[in-house]
Amino acid sequence: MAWTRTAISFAAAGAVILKSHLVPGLIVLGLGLITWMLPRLFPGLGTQNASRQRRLLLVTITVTAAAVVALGVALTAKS
Amino acid sequence: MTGERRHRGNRVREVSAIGATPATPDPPDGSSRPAESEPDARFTFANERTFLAWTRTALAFMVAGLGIVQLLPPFPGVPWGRHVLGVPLIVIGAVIAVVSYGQWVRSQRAMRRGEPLPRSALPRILSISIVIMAIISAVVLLVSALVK
Repeated sequence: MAWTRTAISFAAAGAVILKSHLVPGLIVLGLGLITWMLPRLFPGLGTQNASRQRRLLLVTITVTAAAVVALGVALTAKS
Repeated sequence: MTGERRHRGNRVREVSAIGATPATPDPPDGSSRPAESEPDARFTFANERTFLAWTRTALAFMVAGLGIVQLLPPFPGVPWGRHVLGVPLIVIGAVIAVVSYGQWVRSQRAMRRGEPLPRSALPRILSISIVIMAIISAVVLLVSALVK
């Protein structure tokens, strides 16, 4: 459920971006889908510490990438 | 919980204060790296859920920032008002995401070593960020009201 809630948060961010920027919005929505699928596609990945760390690092990179996209959208928006 | 004996099937094992299995002896090569052992799965999952909760907080900050920039009408007399409010929120979201990963790594390492959990900087970052954003919001609204 925690992963699902996180994916829903990604979807919210993607939807807000989608309002004005189609491609970046779809990218962030796709990142949310990846976040939702991570524990389902690779259920064995989280059993070892190093694998779990890589998975959470991937989530962190994904969120940071979404933030960069959001920053680009915000800075290019008209005042 | 130190010294408690836990039964799992036919096995009986000692658990530390954080539920870790007994630490393995120091490395034979004489290095000073502390011995590590796999912590109780419940604590590992709890640490992961905490990380995901902070990730959602980070995403909420980003959505709030984007919402302000894209959905709010412009402040009368303050054309830069939405950007002044929205951009820092997005940056704070990115900072929270990165710091929460570092916090997860430090907590996991401490649990594996049977050490006390490190203090988290995230509540302080969150509180200071909210206070600063509230002050900026008040200033923008006041300037807007005065200029209008």
